[in-house]
Amino acid sequence: MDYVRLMKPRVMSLVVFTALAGLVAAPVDMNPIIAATSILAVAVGAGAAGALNMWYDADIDAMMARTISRPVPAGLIRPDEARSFGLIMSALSVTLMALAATPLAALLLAFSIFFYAVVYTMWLKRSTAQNIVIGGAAGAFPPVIGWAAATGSAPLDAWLLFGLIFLWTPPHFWALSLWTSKEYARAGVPMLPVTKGAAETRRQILVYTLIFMPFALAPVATGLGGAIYLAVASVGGAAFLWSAIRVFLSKAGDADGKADLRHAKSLFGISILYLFALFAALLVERALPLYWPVAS
Amino acid sequence: MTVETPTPEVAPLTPEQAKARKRRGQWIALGLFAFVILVFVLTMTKMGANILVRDL
Repeated sequence: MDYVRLMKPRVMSLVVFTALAGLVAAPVDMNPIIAATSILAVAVGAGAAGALNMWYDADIDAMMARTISRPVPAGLIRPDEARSFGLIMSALSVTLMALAATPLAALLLAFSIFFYAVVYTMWLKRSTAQNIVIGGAAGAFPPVIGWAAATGSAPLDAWLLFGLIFLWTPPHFWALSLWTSKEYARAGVPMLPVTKGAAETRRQILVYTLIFMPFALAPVATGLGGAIYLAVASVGGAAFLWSAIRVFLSKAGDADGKADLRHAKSLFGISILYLFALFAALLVERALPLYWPVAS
Repeated sequence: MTVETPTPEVAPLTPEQAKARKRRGQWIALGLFAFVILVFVLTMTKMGANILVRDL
């Protein structure tokens, strides 16, 4: 069970879901065994990256209430075991992807594990307030990997899905950091509220949300998303934007803004729901299929 | 003349540690077995169609 927790199952579930959406949205029929194995490879790869993250971050995880009970800081798994587990699982997942699907999918999977474990965890996280902006790319790869597993290529539509998650990550994560900034400060992690303050964080949440909103509608323009996707993106997007505006107008993260943290928590919840709904809409449209084109 | 190999001192495992190690070993064995089966099934899936279209 500790090894399951080491693989960050909740993060893994979102990764698997977005990879599945990319795989299903790709315009080819795929053998179900090969498709299932590709998704398994993505899941194992995501878990491996999570294990490497927990190994490297054990020191700062031990300083934060949110992460102190993770298997390594809690003493349930030794750091070197977590590292070996992560490395072996990484190799296994990339090998499995190469055997099951396409070389491009295996290459992208390997790169995303490297990006999360090395570029984000070992480098960006402790050195810049833009850590999650750039590091968000690691979490944005799964739909492209799914698409590449199905077709062997990664066209514009696949990168649109990448862009969706990439632009979604900053407002999502900064909402969380508004109520965990004290812990990040204690652990020496330069999250935006720690280095630039809560007001600047609230402003950047709104700026990124405003950039993200039209981008969420872009798949409709290319024909990737249909009527259901448009409805979900519009209604959910309005809720997301309203929630971001409420955070911007609040004092969430300030010394006297404890009561307003509920707005940040609400945005955090809505952001997860919104991303899930967008990819669920794509899945429903393509898998059932219930696709009605909107773009001419 | 024989040279005795020094035996490193190893702290004995507690019953809980021994149990955990056994359980871990079983999971690794199961995982490896599943991997082998999966690679076999994948190979059959990918080769299957091609075998049927070979020249006789």
